[in-house]
Amino acid sequence: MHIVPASSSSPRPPERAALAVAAANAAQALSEMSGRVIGARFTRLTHVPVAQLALVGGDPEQQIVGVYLGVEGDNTSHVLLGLSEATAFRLADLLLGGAGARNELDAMAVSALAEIGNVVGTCFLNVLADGARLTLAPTLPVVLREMRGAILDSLGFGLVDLEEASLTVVETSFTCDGEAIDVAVFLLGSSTLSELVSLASSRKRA
Amino acid sequence: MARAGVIVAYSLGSCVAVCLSDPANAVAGMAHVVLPSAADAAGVRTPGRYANTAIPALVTAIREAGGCSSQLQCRIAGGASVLKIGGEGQMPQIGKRNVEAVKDALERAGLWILAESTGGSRGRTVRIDVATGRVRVHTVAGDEEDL
Repeated sequence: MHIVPASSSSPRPPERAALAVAAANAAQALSEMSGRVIGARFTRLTHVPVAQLALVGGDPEQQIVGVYLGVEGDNTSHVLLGLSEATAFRLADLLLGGAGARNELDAMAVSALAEIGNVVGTCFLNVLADGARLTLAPTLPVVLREMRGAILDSLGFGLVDLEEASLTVVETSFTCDGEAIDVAVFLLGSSTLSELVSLASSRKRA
Repeated sequence: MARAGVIVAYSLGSCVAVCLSDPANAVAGMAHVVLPSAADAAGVRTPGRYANTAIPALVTAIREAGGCSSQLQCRIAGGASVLKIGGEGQMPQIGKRNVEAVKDALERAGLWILAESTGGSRGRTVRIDVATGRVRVHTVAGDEEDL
């Protein structure tokens, strides 16, 4: 399967320090919610051609549980928390006290996952908003099961003039008790999102 | 556009795949339409992304590859509302608008649709076998259908 090549990608270059802080905050929040040791595995910022957006994150046909938040305020962007189904069941069980036998997303599980998406997404938006001194407010979370590529495909339009070369994509994944877990945070935006990251990072260093 | 193999559009959400084939000459092509129209069609560098520019460009490409425009078979798939958010706003409507724009552009090009799988709330992967013109649509629910 194709993986989108990153035209620029680096774990934690100084101009993207804000992303590392946001990822760490999100991991901390997930730890507190789940009672497990969760850490940020990697955070990277890439510029992805619009036509290849559906390929971000791996197999575009993989069915994921997505938690989507729109962003309102001074910048138009999208936040998507992408979970494998197994991870979604596991996180729902962790929050709801299940015994690990969950194999469907009932209303309670959907609510729990929405809250996880809300908390994680807000961690990223808060860091960027504080650093860039802008208002970035998440919309109510929406939980859906769909092909990852189809969700990203639907989010991409409207963010950027299609004649422009690329979208800015921030990807983060996490570890749980030291092992990688299939959770990815995608922050999608136009080139101004990249500028926000740099601005927030420079203010964090100042 | 190709003369052999399979062309695939993975995981279409609101986008629409327009599949044109001329099985007699083993020529087929697919346009991955992202938006209904370009504001400035004359200045578009990527005509395949807009319904109003993609269909004429695809027909021309197929003709140049040896296909006969008078015997083209047309099938379309996509245009879903995967994210049911924003009420009647732009996002939930874009799939529907894409489908409408594609149909309008096909009509202008004198092409009629042999089969379609459009709308709904599920993403689709679309494959066209160039040699036969067979179009197969797969959804995340596991559904597979030939158009």
